[in-house]
Amino acid sequence: MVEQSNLLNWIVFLPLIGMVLCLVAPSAKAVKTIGVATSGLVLLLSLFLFPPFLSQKFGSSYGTPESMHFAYTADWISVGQFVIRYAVGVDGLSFPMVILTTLITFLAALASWNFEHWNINKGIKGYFALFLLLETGVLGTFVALDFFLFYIFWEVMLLPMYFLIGVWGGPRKEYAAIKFFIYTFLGSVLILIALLAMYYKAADVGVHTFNLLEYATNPQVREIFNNPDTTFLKFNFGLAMFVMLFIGFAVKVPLFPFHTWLPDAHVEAPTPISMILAGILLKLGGYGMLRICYPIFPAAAHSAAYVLALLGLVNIIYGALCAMAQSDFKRLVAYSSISHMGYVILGLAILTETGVQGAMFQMLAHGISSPMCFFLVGVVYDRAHHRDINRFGGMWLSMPVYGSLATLGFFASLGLPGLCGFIGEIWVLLGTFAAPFPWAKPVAIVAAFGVVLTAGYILWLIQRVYLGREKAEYANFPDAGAREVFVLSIMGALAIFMGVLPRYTFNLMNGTLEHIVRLFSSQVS
Amino acid sequence: MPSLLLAESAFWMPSLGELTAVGPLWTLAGTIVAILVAALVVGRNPAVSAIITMLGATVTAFVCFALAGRTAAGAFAGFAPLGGAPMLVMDNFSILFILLICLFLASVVGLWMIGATSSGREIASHTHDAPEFFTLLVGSAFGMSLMVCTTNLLMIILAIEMASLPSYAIVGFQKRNRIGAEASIKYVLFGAVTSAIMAYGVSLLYGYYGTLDLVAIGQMISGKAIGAGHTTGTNLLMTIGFFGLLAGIGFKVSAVPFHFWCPDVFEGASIEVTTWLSVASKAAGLGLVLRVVTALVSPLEDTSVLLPMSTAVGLFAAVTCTYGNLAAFPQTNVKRLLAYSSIAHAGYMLMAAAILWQPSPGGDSTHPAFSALAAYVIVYLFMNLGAFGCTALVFWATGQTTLDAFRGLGRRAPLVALAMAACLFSLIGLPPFGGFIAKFYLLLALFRSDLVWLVIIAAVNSLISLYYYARILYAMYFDDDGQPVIAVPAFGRSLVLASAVVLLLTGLPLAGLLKTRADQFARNLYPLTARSSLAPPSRHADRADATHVADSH
Repeated sequence: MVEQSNLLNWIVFLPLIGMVLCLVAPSAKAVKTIGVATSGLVLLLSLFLFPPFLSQKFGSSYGTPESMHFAYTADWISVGQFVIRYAVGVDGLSFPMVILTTLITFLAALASWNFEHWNINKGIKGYFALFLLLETGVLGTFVALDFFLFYIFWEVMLLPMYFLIGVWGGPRKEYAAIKFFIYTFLGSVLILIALLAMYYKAADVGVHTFNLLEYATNPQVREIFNNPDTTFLKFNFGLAMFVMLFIGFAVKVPLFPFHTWLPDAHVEAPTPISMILAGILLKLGGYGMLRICYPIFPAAAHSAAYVLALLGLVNIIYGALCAMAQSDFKRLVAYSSISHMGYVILGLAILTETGVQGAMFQMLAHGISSPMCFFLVGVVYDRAHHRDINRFGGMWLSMPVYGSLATLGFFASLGLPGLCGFIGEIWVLLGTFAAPFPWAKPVAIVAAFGVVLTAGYILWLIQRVYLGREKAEYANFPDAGAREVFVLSIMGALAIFMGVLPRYTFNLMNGTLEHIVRLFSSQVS
Repeated sequence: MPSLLLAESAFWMPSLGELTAVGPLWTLAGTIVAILVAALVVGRNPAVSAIITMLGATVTAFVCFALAGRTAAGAFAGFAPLGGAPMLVMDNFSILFILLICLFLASVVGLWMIGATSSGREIASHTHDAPEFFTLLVGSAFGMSLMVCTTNLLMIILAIEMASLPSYAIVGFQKRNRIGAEASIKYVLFGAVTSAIMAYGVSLLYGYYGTLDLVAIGQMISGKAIGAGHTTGTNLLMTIGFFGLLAGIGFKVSAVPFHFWCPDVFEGASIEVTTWLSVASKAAGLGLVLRVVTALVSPLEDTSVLLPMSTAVGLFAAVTCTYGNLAAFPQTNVKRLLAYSSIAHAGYMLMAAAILWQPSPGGDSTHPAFSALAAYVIVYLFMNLGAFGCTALVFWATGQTTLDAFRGLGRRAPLVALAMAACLFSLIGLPPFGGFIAKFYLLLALFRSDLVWLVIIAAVNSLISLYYYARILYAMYFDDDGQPVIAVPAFGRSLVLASAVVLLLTGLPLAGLLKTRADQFARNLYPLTARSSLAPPSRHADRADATHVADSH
């Protein structure tokens, strides 16, 4: 019997306490301090999650009590046989995500420090309150082990995002906000239907639970879920559930063709919210797939591998081509996010250990490089009040420190060897090339071409914005201040660390990923 | 064939046990008398009438609590004249509904009091004719309570009329309001037509089956009643009769195609009356639908008959909620928008009636349809109270109920906007609010009965409804045309905030309690305790070990 630990409860719900404090704080300065302090405190608490992962305690298989750390279970809704539990815990899959979330949220809180200089600078209490509520929702989603709890936290994220984009965003904020809301809610509705179907199918074999680990490991449940004869509305049950869940998560990734909300949402959201959106929320899709779709429905994953790999490939190439065509700085970074997330989907689709490791690493790497890029855009926008790439030039000369950090950030996004982006991409490409599918090698070759396209738009961007002759209108721009340098340095240092010493990052998650891969390679369609 | 001619039987009087069993109805009737007498004795004082109504609602609630112990043991069905059909029924479900009606009556009176004390003379409603207004209000409450207390066809007609006629009057109560008068006329005409159809249908049923008791009719249809003979099974006459009956009930529920009165009446009536009608009449109508349907099908075991009926009811419900959601899109008047939203929610609640094809567990185990409906109605009450309450507060401060009046409400009245946002998110069906939990329980019950197509329709409809609810949110938070800050009475603010808090509580910590209570009130229901002892058939041919008694909660 594993002992219960309250650490995760504190990590998830401390931002709520911060939210209440923000709402009653006396001044704007106090609100900002509370916001930064709360997210900093949560970051500190999350550092206490490291020990079991540093000592590589991943248990013997997926979901066993030894593999879930800091677990906490409590009865929530218990009516007869219908039981929903509040069950949380971290393993190698969710732990890196939790650390990423707390870190990026802290950096985004720091990025919000210049709230008074924004275009819309009213309602700072509401802003930080919603910000902290968002953090609770995201952290809860990553640590939830009960599907119903997962769903509740998943939906709880929608409300603050709607307001954060719609109230404090750019010119087309309302359009972007409602588009984001409707798209994500559509995905959520599909996940809800799948949730109900899975519960009742499991109940048919006598397993009355919403627990995700139970679904993945209980032999009777696996048998009936993956049985080719089990049906859902005349479709194969496993395939139907996989597709519904996949679409639900693919909206978040975002996977072509469910990606059209992202450019609008990212561009119109204020800088810190873009950081959180790109750095964390996009990872929720990948996490959901790894936690729910792949372990529970391996047979369907095998049948769908080709389509998913193709869609990932489209993301990579199409995202890169769109990015190359952009003249809005932020939009370019948004499309580059779509392109990078394509590697994640490709890595998951091929169902090999290298692929899954690469997908996970790419999620973490993108979670560092993308917020960095958005913050870089934000720094320029704060000074120039426009984002037109063609009007920029010679920024490195006007702002040397900023320019250096910007180059570092964009090279990380490009996937320069030695920086974080490279490891994720190369792992996915190697995995795809070696995957046991007939279509794998051509797909890998085309995906590798995406690297060239990425280099194309990033280098061209750097040349247009940071290099070239110094322009008079930007000559007097103040260089990056202490706060900005701090935020960028942290992310830059992590990008270098993850790129040069990826082993340490892989060690934190490979144990669990190995268990997950074992779950779906034991079932070949 | 049982005879109802009084001249041939001895004079019948109900026994004391029977009289006490329907105590809540007596106290509601007593409240009506008290209001009228007080107006004679103390003079026409609006405060006095309001207080008497509140007291009456509170006393009725206490009587309900007192009876809850008795109905938990078993349902009561009585007031049957010698040899006739039982006219009144009091079981757990009735008690719950009467309790909810009393709670809502008290809230509406509270809303009225806020309106009467805060608004200007031009839009002050009903203070001159307060005794008559409250008499009519409690009268319609009495009728609605009666609606959930009967399975006798004659009593159903009486109850629906008792609920409707006072409603017609209070809709048009503001004498100088042209829109209100028009709304009232529309309501009367529509109600009269559907009542006529209902009476015709009921007369056909009585003529064919020779009894007014729906349970007896159900047994005759299924062939269980002794000497049923030619009345077994379905036929054209029976279908027409039931269509007539459902027309009358569907009118109260505002199901499509009997919904046309709803938007106009909600827009034209004063805000308190709209609030009252949006919840109470629909809840009572839905309770009656469930009772009628259960009374008819509980003896039936032939799935070939149950399945088409379930599909028909499900289709009815699906069309209602889809129509309600789509028609709300172009609305700019918040009262009309909320009227369409209430049509959509009535559609969701009607889906519970499609669960009937699963053979109902008898006796102590919970009936899933009743449990899902009970949970939904409880949450629906608070959602609508909050939403209409906020609309009322905005109306009394600005004199309008259009979306323009809501613009910038996040700045002008932050707490009211917050409460409205909570109620809107709950109406959409988003966690962590009670609206999601109630919808989840409903979807669970639907899924358990293999009504997956209804689950998908309900889920898609939640998605569609997001758009028009978000328009109010947009107006409140994203749009600001510089309108002045509005002063909201503290009591009104507390009322809507309390509703929002209840929604938050039922969404998270008390979600389990909601289900437990709903299940508790769905036990020992009237026609189900007296069913045959045959074992229910299994749902699937390939599920060898399927027994519903085993896995019902």
